[in-house]
Amino acid sequence: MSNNYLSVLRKENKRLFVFILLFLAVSLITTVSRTEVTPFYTWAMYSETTRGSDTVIIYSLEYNKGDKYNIPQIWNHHRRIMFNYSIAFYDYCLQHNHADPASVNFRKLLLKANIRDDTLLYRLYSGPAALDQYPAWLKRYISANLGMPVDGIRVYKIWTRILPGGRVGEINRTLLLTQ
Amino acid sequence: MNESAMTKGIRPAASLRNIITRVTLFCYLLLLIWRGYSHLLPVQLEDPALNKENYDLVFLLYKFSGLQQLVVNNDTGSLLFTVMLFLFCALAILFPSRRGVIIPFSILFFIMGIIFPVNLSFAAHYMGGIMLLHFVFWPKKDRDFELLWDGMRYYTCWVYASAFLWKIINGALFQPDFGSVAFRNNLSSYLFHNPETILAHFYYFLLQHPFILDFGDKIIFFLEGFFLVGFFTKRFDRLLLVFTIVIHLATYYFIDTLFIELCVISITLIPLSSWNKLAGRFPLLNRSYRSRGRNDLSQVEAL
Repeated sequence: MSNNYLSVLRKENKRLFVFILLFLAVSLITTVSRTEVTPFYTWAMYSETTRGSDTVIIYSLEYNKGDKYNIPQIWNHHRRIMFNYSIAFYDYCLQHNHADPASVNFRKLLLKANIRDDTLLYRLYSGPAALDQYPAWLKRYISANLGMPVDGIRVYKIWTRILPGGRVGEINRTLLLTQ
Repeated sequence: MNESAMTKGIRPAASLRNIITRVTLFCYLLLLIWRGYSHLLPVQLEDPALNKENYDLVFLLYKFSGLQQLVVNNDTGSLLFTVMLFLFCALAILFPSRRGVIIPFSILFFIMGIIFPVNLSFAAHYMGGIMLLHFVFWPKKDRDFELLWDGMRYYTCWVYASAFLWKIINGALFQPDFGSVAFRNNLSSYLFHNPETILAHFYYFLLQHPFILDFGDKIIFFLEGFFLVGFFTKRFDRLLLVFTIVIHLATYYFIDTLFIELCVISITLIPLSSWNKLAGRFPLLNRSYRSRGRNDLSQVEAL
C-alpha cells in the first residue's frame, strides 16, 4: 500500500493494526468464497455477464380506481424501492412452492442435525404466514408512502419486450396480487 | 503546510477533526431526512410481513437477537429507535468531540444498515460504505483518528477499484453488449410506465444506437478502475471525488439504481487543503464546546 500505511499503523497502534488486518482477512475470505456477510461486501454488483433476453418481466401497481403507482423522479428513487424489491421477492417465493428457498435449505440443515422444532427456523426466517400477510402490508405501506387513504391495490406481473424504435410493448400480464 | 506534504504519508487531519466530523455527520443527517421522505425509516416501515435474510450471518444474528421485533415490528420501539437516531446524529454534529454521543449514533446507524436490507427483501448495498465510515470518529486520540481517516480513504478506493476488478473476474468487462443488455433489463419498467417523457425519448434514441450504451458502460468501468491509482498517490483525489458522482449518476440513468449514499465515503478523498479553506471560511464549524487543545481555529490557521 502506498506510503507504507500498514507499516505506519503497525508502528503507531498495534491494536488498530491487528483490527484492520482482521477486517482485511475477513473481507478477503468472504470475497474469495463469494459469501456476502454484512459489512464485508464483495462489491460485485453488475460484474457478471448478462444474457440478453427478448422478454423482460416488470411489475405494475395500481391503487384505488386504477391509479398507477409511478414515481419515476430521481429524488423518489428510494421511495419506490420498498415496492420494487419486495414484490420481486414475493413473486420469487410464490414460484418456489410458496416459501423462501433459503428457509427451506435451513430447515434441511436443522433436520440433518435432528432438530425438528421450527421455533429457531421461524425466529430467523419469515414463516409461511408472511406470504399471506404481504398483500395487506403492501396496501398499508403504499397508503403511508403516498400519504393518502388507499382502498385497494392490484399488482400485475407483465411480460414486456422492446419494440423496434425502442418503445416497450406488453406481451402478456397476470394479476399477481389484489388486496 | 504545503500541498505535497499533505499528499504524502498519513494526512495530518487532527486539527481539522471537528469540521471533518461535523460535515460528514451532516451528510448522514441529510441522508436520514431523505430516508424519512422516502418512507424507509424503521418507524415508517409499517411492520413488514416479508424479510429476506438469505445466508448472511449478521442478518441471521440480527433476527435471532429479537431486535427486529423490538425496533421494527413494535410501534413504540421503532419510534424510539428513529427518534434516537436523529437525536444522536444532531448531538454528534453539535458536539463532535464527545464520544458519548458519537458511539451511540454509530451503533444505531449500524443497526439501521442491517434493518434496511432485511426488510427491503434484498441484500442491497445502498448503506454498505456508510455503515463503516462513522467508526473513524470513535478514537480518543487524534493520531488514531488520522490513521483511521487515511485507512477509510484506502477503503473508499478499494470499494470502487474492487468493483472494477470483479468486472474483470466475472467477465462483464469483456461482454461487448453489456451496457445495452443491462440497460434493457433495468429500464424497461421506466419506459413502460413513462413512454412520453423527454428522458424516454432520449432512451429510445440510445436503444436505436446501442453502441453508445456499450461504449459508455466501459468508460464507467474504467472510471472505477482508476481508483487503483488512489493506492499509490493522493494527487488525483479531487478527480476521484468527481468520478464517484459521475459513476453513481450514470448508474442511476442507465441501470436505474441510485447508490448516491455511497458517495458519502468519498468525503475521505477531500484534500486537507480544502478542509483548511472551509475551516478558514466557517471557523465555527471547527470549534469545539469541549476543547482538548486540538481544535481551535488558531491551530488551523497555523497550518
